[in-house]
Amino acid sequence: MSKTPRHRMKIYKSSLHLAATFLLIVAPFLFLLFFSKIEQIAVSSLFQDVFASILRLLIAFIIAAILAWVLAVLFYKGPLSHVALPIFDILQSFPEFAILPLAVYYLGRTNFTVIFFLVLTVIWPILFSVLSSLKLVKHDWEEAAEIYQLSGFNYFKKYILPLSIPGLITGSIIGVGEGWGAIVATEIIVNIKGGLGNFFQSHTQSPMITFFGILAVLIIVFSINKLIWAPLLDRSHQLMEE
Amino acid sequence: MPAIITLKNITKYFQEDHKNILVLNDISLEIQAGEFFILVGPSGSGKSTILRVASGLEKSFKGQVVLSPEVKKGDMSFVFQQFALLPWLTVYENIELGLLAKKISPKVKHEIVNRELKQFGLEKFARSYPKDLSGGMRQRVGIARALAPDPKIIFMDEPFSELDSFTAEELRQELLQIWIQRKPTIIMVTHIVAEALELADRVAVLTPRPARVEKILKNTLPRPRQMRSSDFFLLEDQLYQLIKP
Repeated sequence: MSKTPRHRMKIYKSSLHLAATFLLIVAPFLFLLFFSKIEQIAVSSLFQDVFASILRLLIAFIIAAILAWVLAVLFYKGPLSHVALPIFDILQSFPEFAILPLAVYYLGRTNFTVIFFLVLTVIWPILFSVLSSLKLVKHDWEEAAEIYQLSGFNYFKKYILPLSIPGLITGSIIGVGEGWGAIVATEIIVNIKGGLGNFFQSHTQSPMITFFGILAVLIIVFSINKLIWAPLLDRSHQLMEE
Repeated sequence: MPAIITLKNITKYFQEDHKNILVLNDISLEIQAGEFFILVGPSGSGKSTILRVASGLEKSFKGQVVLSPEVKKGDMSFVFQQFALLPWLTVYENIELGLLAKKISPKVKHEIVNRELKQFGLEKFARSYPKDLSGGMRQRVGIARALAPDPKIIFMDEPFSELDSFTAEELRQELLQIWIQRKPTIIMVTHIVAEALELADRVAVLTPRPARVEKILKNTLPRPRQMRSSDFFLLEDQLYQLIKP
């Protein structure tokens, strides 16, 4: 293997940055502990509910991201794109929650049902973002890739993947954002054991618990955005800068 | 000597607002191996389109492009007006791009990229990204990338027009040196008459749209060319009279 020179990424710019990162990591945990203490909810069940939902969302996101990326790469150009893009547009508006009760009836109150419907929510923003970043490719770049006959793995690694990453990240941010809303609703409708939907439903009589629960979700979302998405977005913009 | 690339009766239409507009009108050219061939013409005349037809980037046209048998598709390179460097790849990786399709060992690839980096004085910038380079340095990367696969034909689409005149002159001299050393066939487009005469063995003058070949001028001035000699000025006048705005 030849060594390809690469910029070393400097992760922490200063000790303040390091401290802020640390705070972002511990804040959700601290808040959940505080929450369970104040409202006298068992710590373990609170953490289990939160992590059950995060895990479902994570799995749904990974499946949606891979599917969206593959669909976008397959259909962003070429003769099939004229057929595929309008179909995506219609499917995007498909009211998936309308068939959720039916799905519960046939598939049961399972993780599979919840994750399946989450995928249907999360996939569209990712798909359309990747599509738009691929469609905005400079004609020059396409010609360079063609004249130097990039194909197969090199085409993937040096061309399509880097090109689609900014769209993949922006789409993921929007998709996961919608996913947080959808997961609570889906879990309530499916009435699955464990998870935030279950948590909110079993505390309907307490506005305080509902309020703290929502606050906990917001803190978690904020931390994940700051820790994961914001740096990724930054980096991807840097790489595309000309 | 047999031609390395021959364009036979190339005709091409563009579609604009559902109308067909003729851009290339029956272009025929024969270019010899090792020749420095330049196309000049008014802007919008279709010079770049001829390069794209000849290099295979443009596929819809009437007529024929015939390559001599020893030229394969991977033996052609292209230098773009706006460099066309991939911003997410380093200078090193951009130059390597021209070699990725070749069946050569990573070690040899590494040697070739380093050779080109050295040739163009880019060693210090190997790990930099294109956005950190000046225009002149970027086009050096563009030319290095084109030369790395040791191509038989290099197409150049106004490669110096985005650069300031000093940098452009420097790069022209570097290009001439390399052309003399390695003897690839170069087919270049420019709208600068002096540039064409400084570099080319033959200059084809195109008419305004739709482009026809008005005349092909032989430039037998000895190299290195004296750009302030009376012979050069005579030829320059001759060329100016042929180009219609």
